[in-house]
Amino acid sequence: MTESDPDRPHGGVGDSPPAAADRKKCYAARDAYYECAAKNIGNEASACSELRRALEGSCLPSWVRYFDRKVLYEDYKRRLAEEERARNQEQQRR
Amino acid sequence: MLSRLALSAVRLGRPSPLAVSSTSSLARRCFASSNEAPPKKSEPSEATSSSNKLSFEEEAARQIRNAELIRDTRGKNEEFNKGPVTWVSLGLLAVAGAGLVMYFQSERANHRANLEAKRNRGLGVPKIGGPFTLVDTNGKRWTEEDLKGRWTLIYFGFTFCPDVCPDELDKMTEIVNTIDNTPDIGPVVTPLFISVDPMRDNAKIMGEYLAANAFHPRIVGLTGTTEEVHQVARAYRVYFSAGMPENPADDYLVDHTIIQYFMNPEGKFATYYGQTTTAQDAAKRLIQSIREYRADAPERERASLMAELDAAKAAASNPTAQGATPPPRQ
Repeated sequence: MTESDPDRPHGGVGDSPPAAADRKKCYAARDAYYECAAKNIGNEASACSELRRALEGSCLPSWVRYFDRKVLYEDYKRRLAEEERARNQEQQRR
Repeated sequence: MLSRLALSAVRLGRPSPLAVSSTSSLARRCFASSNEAPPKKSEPSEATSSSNKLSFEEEAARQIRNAELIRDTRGKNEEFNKGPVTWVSLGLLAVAGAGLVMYFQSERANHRANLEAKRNRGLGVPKIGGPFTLVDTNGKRWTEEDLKGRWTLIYFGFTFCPDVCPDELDKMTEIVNTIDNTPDIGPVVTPLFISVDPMRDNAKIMGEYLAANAFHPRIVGLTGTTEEVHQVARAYRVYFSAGMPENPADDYLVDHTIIQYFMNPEGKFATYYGQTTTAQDAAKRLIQSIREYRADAPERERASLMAELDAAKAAASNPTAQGATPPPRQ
């Protein structure tokens, strides 16, 4: 993205950092989008496109990338924990 | 009478020779008179004929009386002389023993904990901290000397941080508020927020950031040039790496160590905690640090006095050398 969208928040040199209110707005948009994505696994692009646009409008681009990675990572951790628990239960049953 | 004499002989523990001989003679007498206790009064008259018999009878009577006397006095002590061990005494012993054991165990645990704490405090202090120079939001320059005389809580982050830095700064605010409200401590902690994003964060930006967020009122935001930030990060063993974009107009995130350091009034490292420590646990740890530091004050006084004496001695023996300034007392 070489052209910065004037409507989106900026985070380059000289820009002001997001204040508490901006952060809250971003968090709300983030939570809304990821809830929708969790409910529509597989077709997030179509089902949650509105929320995705809202998210990208409220949060800095680097933050959006960060949240995407974070959600993936937490999903991965949860799956690992579940597998671990299932394995432990199997072992206990034996 | 025979039985009483025999029993008393047994109780006395050793048969007196007189009792034994008297027993046999008395035995003959008793069997002859069929259970009749010979009247003691009539004995002397009856026995005046034979002086031997009288002495034996008298001896026997006296022995019996002695034995009975001993037995009676012994009987009073019999309660005690049943033996030193009764159920009651056993019970008391068990209770006292259990109490002593518990007391000693708790004291030993306390002693061990104190030793551990002392060891951790005294020996294994990591080499955290060092010289640095940064600027706060009012343009005032801060160095490691400004840490002396106050307790500082230092967090490294940057203003464009999505969630971790605001959360950590909120945690820092809660911790400092807790310590402020602790009666015997009060507002002695200065929170520092050092930016590891020298490209974007300067005094003005940092000022805006702190003003636009409800963090602790005493928080000081420090920024610096790239070299200055590298210097302070190296001194505090903090890793940071900016994910620089190609276009400087684009934003980026700075990957960094998430840690908070607590420095004591000598500007030396006291304790630290990370992201997983809750505000309450951290506050407890800091308060304990402060109390331990204050408790060590007499030792420090002594040490600084000794150092002063040594310096004075050295100066006296070497009059050309400059007098050393004593270390600051806290």
